[in-house]
Amino acid sequence: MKQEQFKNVYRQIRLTEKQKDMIWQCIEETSRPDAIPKKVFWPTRIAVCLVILLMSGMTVLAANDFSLTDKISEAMQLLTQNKELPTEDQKDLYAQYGQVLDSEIELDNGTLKLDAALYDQNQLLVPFRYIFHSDIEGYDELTTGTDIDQASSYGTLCKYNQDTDIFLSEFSFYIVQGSEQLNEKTGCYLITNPVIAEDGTISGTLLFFSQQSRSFEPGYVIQLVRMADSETAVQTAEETNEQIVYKLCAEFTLGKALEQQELAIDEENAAALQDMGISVERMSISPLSICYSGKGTHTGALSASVTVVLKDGSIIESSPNGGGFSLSDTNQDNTSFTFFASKVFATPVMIEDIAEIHIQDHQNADIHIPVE
Amino acid sequence: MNPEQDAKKLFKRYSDMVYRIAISYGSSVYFAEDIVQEVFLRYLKKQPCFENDEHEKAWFIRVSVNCCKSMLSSAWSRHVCPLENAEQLTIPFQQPDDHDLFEVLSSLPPKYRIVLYLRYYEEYQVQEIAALLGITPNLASTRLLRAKKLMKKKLLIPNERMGFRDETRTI
Repeated sequence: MKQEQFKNVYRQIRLTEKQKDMIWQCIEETSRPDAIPKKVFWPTRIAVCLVILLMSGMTVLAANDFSLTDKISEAMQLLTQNKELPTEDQKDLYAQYGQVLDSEIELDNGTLKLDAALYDQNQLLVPFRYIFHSDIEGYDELTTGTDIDQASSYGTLCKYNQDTDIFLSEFSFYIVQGSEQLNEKTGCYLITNPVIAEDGTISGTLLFFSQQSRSFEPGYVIQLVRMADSETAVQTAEETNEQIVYKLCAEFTLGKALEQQELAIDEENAAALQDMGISVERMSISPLSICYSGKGTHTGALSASVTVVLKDGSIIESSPNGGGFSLSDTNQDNTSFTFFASKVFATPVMIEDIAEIHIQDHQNADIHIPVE
Repeated sequence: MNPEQDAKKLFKRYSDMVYRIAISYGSSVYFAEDIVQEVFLRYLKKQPCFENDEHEKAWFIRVSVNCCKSMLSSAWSRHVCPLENAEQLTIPFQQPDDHDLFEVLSSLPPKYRIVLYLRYYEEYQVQEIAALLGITPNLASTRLLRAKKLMKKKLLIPNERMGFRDETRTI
């Protein structure tokens, strides 16, 4: 292959004027100030009380190296990009349903420590810490408070990127039930806290997600596996058509699951959803997310805005991270499919505080599903 | 010039480049369109100051790569067609040979496609590619060598479609 031929192929990959106009129009609409998602409203007095409560609890927290609630709160803030302090209800939720993990994965340049877990029907949140091997060059220069985004691409931080790159591309994540291997594969989303913590430790959160409703259950085992000796193993397997050997690197058993509630969809709402292009067979909510599944004729309906309306009138949008949809049994032009969709809330919410789920799309659909 | 006018100017200059990077990572036009939108929204949100044109271009490449990685590892990527289904792309190539070459390129894992694109289209050096992708120069060099080797192998055996590795596992 000649370079000029390669360039010629790529030169032909370009946006048409129509595509450009459409994308630019979307950018303009999304970047308008009134298009920015509304922030969750919390009364000032609650925020003040939280600060006081937090300060009064600091002595206790300082005495304790590991706070499950703090770990999950930090991970949740990273996931949802929501800087609000956790409410007392949320802290209770983390304490009640969170579990401490003690799993470590050795990567090339450091150790990935899985600290905790919190999960619902479809999302599994795992706060982590990444600790560089002490013999890594430049280890001593890592300074608390360094902004990773502003740091040089070379040097020690580059080795973190290298390891997370390997983690996301060479690891697979499976759900196993007892001796029976479910072989349900999950996906993983990794978000890094941009500021280096004490002793050069990097923290962040992993969000594992499954493609099926209620795929995470108490007692299920999550396995993290990596191709053994990837570079040579893959090369050999490619040449000999042999199976690639995988190595089990970490596993943990799921504890208590977050509460889940099925939602009833009445005839009127079912008809409105049908008009949008989906027939919802099952819809359920947890404090973290909403999941719905069924059959559809129009994939655009799965990108509709889904918000939570609380009993006090405040609104909680969907988080920019996590959630999504998967299709199966699709025909050639995606006009007939089975789907499973989920959306993560911008902040965890108590189910008993929810008044309704509000679904809107660009075609004027305006659906209100009550939460009894 | 206000930020939106700036963004429009940069959109004209870099939208095709961002689109090509996104195509190098995913195999869907819809995925690539989403990435172009996301990259320019990030520009509008951050409004970074650039020292020169090279800095400006490098910023757009790095953010494009980050957006692609994020989106591919997020749940939203689940509805994107599998990477080996390159025929889902609707890029009108002038010559059948160009289409065939693109099919072979599309059959490579994204991490190889992006280093090939940066090296042979954008003509960056290995050190620069490493910096843009946030990996070590050694890793960038290894990926480039492996990508070239795979391309060579595929071009020598044109009837063999190389998909991704078998996910069947043996623990």
